[in-house]
Order: sequence, then C-alpha cells, then structure tokens
Amino acid sequence: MIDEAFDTELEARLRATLAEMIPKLVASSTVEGRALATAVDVVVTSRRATPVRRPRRAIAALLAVAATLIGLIVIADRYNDRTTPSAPTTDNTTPAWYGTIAPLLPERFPYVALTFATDVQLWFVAIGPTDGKALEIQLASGGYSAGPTTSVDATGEWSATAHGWTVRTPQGLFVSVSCDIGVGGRDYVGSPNYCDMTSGVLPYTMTEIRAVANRLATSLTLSIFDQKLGKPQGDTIDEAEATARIQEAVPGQLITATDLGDGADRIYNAGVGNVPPASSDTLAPLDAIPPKADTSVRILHGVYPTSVVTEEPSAEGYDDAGVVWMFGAGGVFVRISTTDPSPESVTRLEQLARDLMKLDPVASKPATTPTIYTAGATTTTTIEFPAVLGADSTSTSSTTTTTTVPACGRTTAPPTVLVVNASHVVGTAMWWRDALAASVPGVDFAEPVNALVKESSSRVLALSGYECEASLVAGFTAVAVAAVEPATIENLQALVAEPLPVGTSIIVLVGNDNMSRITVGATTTTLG
Amino acid sequence: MSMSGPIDPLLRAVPVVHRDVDVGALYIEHRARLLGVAAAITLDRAVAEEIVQDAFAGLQRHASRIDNPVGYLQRSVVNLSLNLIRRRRVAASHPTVPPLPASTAEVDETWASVVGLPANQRAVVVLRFWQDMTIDAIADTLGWPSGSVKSTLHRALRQLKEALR
Repeated sequence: MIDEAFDTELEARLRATLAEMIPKLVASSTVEGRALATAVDVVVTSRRATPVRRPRRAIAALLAVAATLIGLIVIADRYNDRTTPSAPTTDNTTPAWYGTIAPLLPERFPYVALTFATDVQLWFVAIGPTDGKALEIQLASGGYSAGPTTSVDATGEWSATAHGWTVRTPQGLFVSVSCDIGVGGRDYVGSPNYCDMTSGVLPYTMTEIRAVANRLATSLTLSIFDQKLGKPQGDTIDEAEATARIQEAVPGQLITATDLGDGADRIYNAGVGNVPPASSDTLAPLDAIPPKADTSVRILHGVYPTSVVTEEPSAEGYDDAGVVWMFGAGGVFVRISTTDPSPESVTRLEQLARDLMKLDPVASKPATTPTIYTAGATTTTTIEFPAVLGADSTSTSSTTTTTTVPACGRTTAPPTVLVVNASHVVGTAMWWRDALAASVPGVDFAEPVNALVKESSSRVLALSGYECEASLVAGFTAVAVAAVEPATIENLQALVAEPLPVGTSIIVLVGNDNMSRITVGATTTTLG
Repeated sequence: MSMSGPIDPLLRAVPVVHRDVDVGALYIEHRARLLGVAAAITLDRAVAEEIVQDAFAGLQRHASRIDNPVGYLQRSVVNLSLNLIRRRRVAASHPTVPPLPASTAEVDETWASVVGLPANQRAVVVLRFWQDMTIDAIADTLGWPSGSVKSTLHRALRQLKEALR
C-alpha cells in the first residue's frame, strides 16, 4: 500500500514543508495572478484555431439615442420566425416583480426570470434573445462590502467585478449587475468577457452594464424588499432525466447540477477537467488527457413574458466559446454554453436543447399564437417595406417584405434605404463615437458604441423613416437586402453626416454576403 | 496583494443566504484553508483567491440543494484549480512561482520538489499531507476512483524521493 510504503521521514518532511510554505504562498504577491490570467487568455487564443461556428455571421451594430428620431431601419424578410423570438408581449398576469424590474432594464434584455427571493435579496436573470447573453442582476439590502471600491459618485460606492459592476447606495441598497454567456469557470476576473467582445456579435460593454446598475440603484429603494413581488417559479423538468440527456450529449464529462429558487434557475456544469479515464486504476498524466470542452447547461423557469417560443434553438459563436439557446412555452429557457464552438459541438448541443425542452411538459407544447412585439402599452403595426435596393443581384431575391414592427411612432417619411459595404469599416468601434460626436455638436458620446464584425462581405444597411425606439427592433432578423457600390466608410459616415438632434436613434445592421442571415441587434445609448 | 475585483460581492455581503447554510460562517471558517489548497495547486495566489470566491459564490447560489457544503467547497476548489492548470498547460505557459523564503534549506528543497510535481500529483499530495485527508476522501473530492488516487500519490512520492535523494 502507498501509505505502508511511504517513507515516514519524507512524510514528516512534506507535512512540515507544506505547513510552512502554503501559508507563505497564500500571503505572497499577486503578481502571479496576472501570469495565470494571461495564460488562460493564451489558451483562449490557442483555441481560436478551432473552427468557430458563426451561425450569425452578421453583426448588428446599433446606436439608439433617446426620444425622437430619424429611424434608420433595415428590415426585409424575417429569417426564421421560429428561431428568432420577437420582443415580448405582456398580459394581464404580469408578475409584480416583472413590472418592477423590467422597465429598468435595457430592452435588449426583455425576457426576465426571478430566480431567487428572500426578505433581503432579489435575483434576476434578464435574457437577450438575439445572442444568448444574459444580465445577472442581484439586489440586496444591508451594509454590504463589495470589495475594493472603484469609485464613488452620487449613486454610491462602485466596484468593478469580473464582468460587471456593483454599487452600494448610501441608503444601503446593493446592486450587482453582470453579463455573461454562461461559460462555466470563466467568470473570474481576467477571464474572457464574452459580452464585451466585438467580434461576431453585438457587444454589451462594461459601461452599458454600469448604466443598468446605476438605473437600478437610482430607481429602486430598500422598500422593494418589503413588497410582495412574488417567488421564483419552480422547475418542471426532471433533474435526472435532464442529466441523462446532457450526459448523452457530452459523454465523458462530469456533471454537477445545482439550482436556485426551487429549480427556477438550474445549472448543470459538465466538464472533463481533471477527471481521469473511467475504470482505470492508473491515472494518466494530466497532459495526456486531451483537453475537452466544458459545457454549462442552464434551465430557467418562470421567464417572463411567456409569449416567446422558439421551435428551433439559436446559436452564436464567441471566439473560443459558443452558446445555444431556446425558449419554450410557459417561460422555460434553455441555454447551453460550451468551450468547444466547433460546428459539430454546436450541432450536438442544439439537439440537446431540443431534447431538454421536450422534457418539460409545458415547454414542449407548440406555440398557440405567434409572438409579436409590443412595447409597453403600445400596439403593434404591420408595415410593408418596399424593397428599394437592387445593385447586388445576389441579394435581391426578396423585393418586398412584411414584418411586424412596434407601433412606437409614426411614419415620418417614406423609408429611405442606405446600404454600404462594411468591408472597409471593420474594427472601427471608435469611429462611431467620433462620427456621431462630430455629427451632434455638443453631445458627448461616453463610449464607443459598437464595432462592426470583420466580415469582408458585410454590408451596413439602414432604412430610415420610422419613429421608433431603435432598440425595439431587437429580435428581428432581416434578409435580402442589396448592396450599393461603391460603398466605403465614407458612405457609412454619410449615415450620420448630417447633424442629428439629440434623441436621434440609429439602427445599423450588418449582414453576410447573400444576406441570408442578419441579426438585428439593439442597444440603447442616451445622449447626455 | 490586491484583486482586480470580486467574483461575487454578495457572497461577502450576505452572511446567511439559505435556510440551512450559513455561508458567512463557512467563509470565515474555511476560506483560508481552501485558499491554501487552491494556491498550492495553482501556485498562484491571486487565481487561488478567485477560485475560492467562485466556490463560495456557487455555494451561495445553490446552497439549498447542497447537502454537504464543506465537501462542495472542497470539491469546487480542487477541481477549479486543476481545470485552470489544465488550460495553462494547454497554453504551454506556466506562471513563475514566486520565490518564497523558507526557514531551512531542507524545506526550501522539498518545496521546490513539490512545486515541480504535475498539478494532479501536487493536488493529491496537498490534500493528503496538508489537509490530512484519507485516500477515500481525496477520491471523493476529486471524483476519481480510489485506485487512481493511490497510484497518483505513489507516483508523486516516487518523484519526490528521487528529487530529494
């Protein structure tokens, strides 16, 4: 036996050494922390060699500003009503918690679940339907310490977290907001910030997250904990069944399931990590075990509004990670994140999403009514967009499209379509700020708005004429729009070349070459 | 040492989270020990801090379904540490272990040998001889068969003997 064979002198020496040196290591400088963070990043980089599926090669870059607008909208055909949910409808059974929290959240994250509720805490998850990102929102009461204070302002004491912000108000309301795509084990400081990535998807920046936290902190008071806002909705999916499905999808990975709010928020983490070959008494050297994907499956119940149902999962690639998500009936939401974004992996996880959804007796029911977009108390209107484009024969197969858009304003003019080739404007996140700042004298854009995806065939499309909160189009997918040549950065700049009044909203969409898939993203930036 | 930010500030904010689990008390009682385990495996104090925070954050969020909070924490810390080591190895990038003053040359030599062990072997050694855990307890923590723990420990000790001979 090992212990029997062990040299007692060596054992004593080891014990003494570890007892002395581990506390010293713990007390040592943090300089090495940066080393590992870098190392992890290097891993991330190395994995980029893995083919990254970008089901939505297109990226939508949008700047929305406040009140009235020259709406620049591109909409053609809905790519697939099943895969891209439109924005939510509300009904008479709106939970109290939703009515309290939702108006304070960005419209990019319209689907919300209450996952944890006590007398002193309320936790929410707000889901972005177009890219799989989610805001993790935690409210708490008391004199909390959030670690090193980054700054202090009128709102309170701010601290930066791994992928978000916390703020403690002078009154004692503690607000934490972070953004992630759910990749397990990558939410520590220094880990990739997938929400803020500018490649492939519409980023959601730390500044935007801070704005959300600020809005919550300044709009809510401690009285929120005295209100009877409701409880999380428990799960209806059998955990063992779900685990079995996940195990089938990621064989060889060790699965750990945890949940919150009586199952409202259930997370299954699967990973190979250090798990040795099964039924082996001889542990292979760690280096000999090939790295495999870590997979994190999250199932939310009680997502509201419940009107959204997707019959097929959506997917998005994030450099070295991928995420698959799906909405089911009754407020069930499944999101699967993986560190293996290869097409094979994503396809497998898409099937897993379908399988998991089928386990829920409610979620598996087909939608009885189509989902439509409404914004608050407004109604919806169907508008036919005549195609105005035509330079690119490969992308003009659809000449007239019909879509439902929020009746959030009146039509101010016939739509004007502007199309530019974005191939020359890649990596110009800062450009937007500069261009807009130049276009709107006296207005300070606090941050880069959005970057354009580096797709040589991308085109930026814009269509103006509708007054509408730009972000309200989140969830729509546009296709079949032509290109105009020559189209360069100058053309793009022309979109905002004219002075724009404060409150102007702009929507810019970038599509792939044949416009077969375009994501319309949205974010909101309020001019000061 | 300073961290660039907390993983889950609410972890520190709310001592009692779930009906049966006093995370605050567990944090006070076990944090230092878990930090030592993570640091000894990763050889990285800052990352160890993050890992321990992650583990407590996980406990905080899911305490209602965790029967053995201490076991959960231990398992999370060890596995998160080894997962990070794996990624670091894939990257072929190893952090430089900070030079630590030892009380004697023997301790210094032994520590250098421990640091030189593969991470999984070092983890087993730390759990066995710093945490005084049994083979079965280590196996439970790592999710390995007991035989794998034994063989790993055996290889580790053999390497240490050779290095210290």
